[in-house]
Amino acid sequence: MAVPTLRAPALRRRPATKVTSRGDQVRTVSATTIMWLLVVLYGFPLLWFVLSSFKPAGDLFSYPLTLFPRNPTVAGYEQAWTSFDFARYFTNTLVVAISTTVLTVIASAMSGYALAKYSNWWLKAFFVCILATTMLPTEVILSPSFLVIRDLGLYNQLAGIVVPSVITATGVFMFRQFFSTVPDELLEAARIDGSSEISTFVRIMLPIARPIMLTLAIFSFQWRWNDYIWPLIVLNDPSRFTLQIGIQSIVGAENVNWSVLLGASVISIVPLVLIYLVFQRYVMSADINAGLKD
Amino acid sequence: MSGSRTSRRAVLAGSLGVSLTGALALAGCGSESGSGGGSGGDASTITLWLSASEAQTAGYQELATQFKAKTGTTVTIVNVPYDGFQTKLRQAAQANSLPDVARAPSLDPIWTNQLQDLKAIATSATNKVDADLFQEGEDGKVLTIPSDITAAGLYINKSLFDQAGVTYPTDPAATWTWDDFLASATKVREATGAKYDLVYDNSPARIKAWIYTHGAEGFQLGDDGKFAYDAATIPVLQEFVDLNDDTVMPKSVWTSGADPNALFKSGQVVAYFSGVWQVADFATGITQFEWVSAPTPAQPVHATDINTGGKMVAFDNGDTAEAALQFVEFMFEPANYTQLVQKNGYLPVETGLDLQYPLTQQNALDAFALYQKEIELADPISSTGNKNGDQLTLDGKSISDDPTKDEMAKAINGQQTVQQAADNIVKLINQQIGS
Repeated sequence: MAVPTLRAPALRRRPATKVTSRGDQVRTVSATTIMWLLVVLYGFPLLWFVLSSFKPAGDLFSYPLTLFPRNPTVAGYEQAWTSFDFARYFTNTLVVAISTTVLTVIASAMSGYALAKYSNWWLKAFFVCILATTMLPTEVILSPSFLVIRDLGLYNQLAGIVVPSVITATGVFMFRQFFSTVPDELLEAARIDGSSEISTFVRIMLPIARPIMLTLAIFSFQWRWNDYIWPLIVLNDPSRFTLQIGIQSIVGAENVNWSVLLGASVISIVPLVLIYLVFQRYVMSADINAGLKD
Repeated sequence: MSGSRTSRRAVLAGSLGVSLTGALALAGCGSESGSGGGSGGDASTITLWLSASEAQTAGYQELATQFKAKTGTTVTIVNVPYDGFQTKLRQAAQANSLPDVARAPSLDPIWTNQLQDLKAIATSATNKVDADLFQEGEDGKVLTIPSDITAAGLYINKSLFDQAGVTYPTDPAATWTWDDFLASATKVREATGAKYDLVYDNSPARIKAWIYTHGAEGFQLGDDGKFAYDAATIPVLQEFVDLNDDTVMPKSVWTSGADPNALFKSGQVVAYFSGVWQVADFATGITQFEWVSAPTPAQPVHATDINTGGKMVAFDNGDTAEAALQFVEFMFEPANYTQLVQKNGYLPVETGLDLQYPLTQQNALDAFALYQKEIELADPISSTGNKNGDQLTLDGKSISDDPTKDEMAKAINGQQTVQQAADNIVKLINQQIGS
């Protein structure tokens, strides 16, 4: 009696474990396959784009299409670099993107903190107003914003593209949502210990919000780096143009100089890729709950 | 409570302070050099806005250098991207910082009242500007003179024609009909295994050439200020729609935005109907086969679509107004204009110029010679599209969104008949111009 009872579960268990491990395997393999498929799906056009930038103009559209350049050349890059003041546009864009990003992160963190941790009726109304600004597309507020910038004397200044972009509802919202998850006890404990409001914010709240800061920084940098129509309208002096204006000028009314455009585009995405490579480590590994006990 | 209130204020004040300091610092570093707009009030510097490729900016650069040597006035050239140029001019008009001279894509009623009269330059006996290319307003002013003209035209893949042993005309005076051309192109396609006979630019201007060469008038602005089409237009457009059968022409160009330039460059298409601006691009961008400009087919009307490249305008910005006018005058002096035209590969608006384009490739040189002949032979209807546009501008109206592409795409897709497409085009254009 004892033997069969002992065997029966063993027999039953063996196929059961096999099924789960096979199931796990299938699940892992299929998940990995899907991931790799996605990588190929996203990576292939990018790879084609980068490889095409090394093709001479005559090879770009020649049939049959080839992935690898037959006669690799950097002529497109050279022409892009010399056709307009690339270095200066690059610097301008960098100045704008970095200063806006820094200011955006500071302003969003402060407003987000205030909106989450101070309760006041007008703060709530203010928050709704900030959110409402996301409902208006840029084109709608283009003319009014332009008039404001002009009257402030920021027309044809780099500051004219920095100042209007500092406050973003998205940034404020991100910080507000994050700070509302931080327990009030932490704040109260700091107050009891005699920490002033500013030092509580700077020394306790900001460090735990690091992942949000870095995420917003990456977004903000990318937005400002790719901005086109606003800088085009505000800036008049070619010595203040940003990179996107330069790149867009390669696209003519009737035809496009593809080999130059490809070279210029590849150069222009390099800083974004670098920024992402540097910061993604922090974003991915940061523990949002660090320093908190629920 | 009061403590918390003060500290709240401190936080607000702090954040304000940080933002302001940042903004001021930036404003400070931005204001080192002189003004970029035209309203700087400094008559020794004027600005010229244009939208051109690097190669076509060169001619203006040269002009600016010579102008500086002659008058001492520096011309700052700003190359504005084509996409957004109109918007930028509009906003600049609001900011009171329009350039002094511009080569604008079109005139905008928002700033036409700030333009200077170019009549003396346009009608000058030495300049010999083609009188068909500019218009006087009701007040007798000429607000703009085109910097150059463009014409639609046909390109063929010579390598494929040679391989198939099919001949083609080379002289516009002895051109072929569309039927002859399509028959030859089909022969070439079948003999060489190419994919399509023809790709045709997806453009309201290029379709005009198709209509005119078939003897119809297309969409014209009437004396009543409304657009209308003649009865002959419908069968002609029907014929065009029928050619989009994925054998003679690929449907994708007119329906889903495929790039005809790229298709032709692939060497898989026998011919391409586009315009003179492709010459410079093909000269460097086609190395896999030989191409030539072929005469535009006439069935039976010898026509094309003649358009203006850019519209030269001089703004009245007070102190710099005189220098701006001087620059335009300088530009259209035959000797200077000849240089500009040669350098930029333009077709001239002035007659009687002796042009030698500095190109090394024979097919590119031949193309320019062919286009000049085509324009001489072209029926007067060829420039009506441009004239209609000028007339609208003088009336303070503009077509901001030409419906031709969308409506024709629907007809090619079988979503509506050609008759409906033509009716919609006229209706939508008339709505935009308020008639």
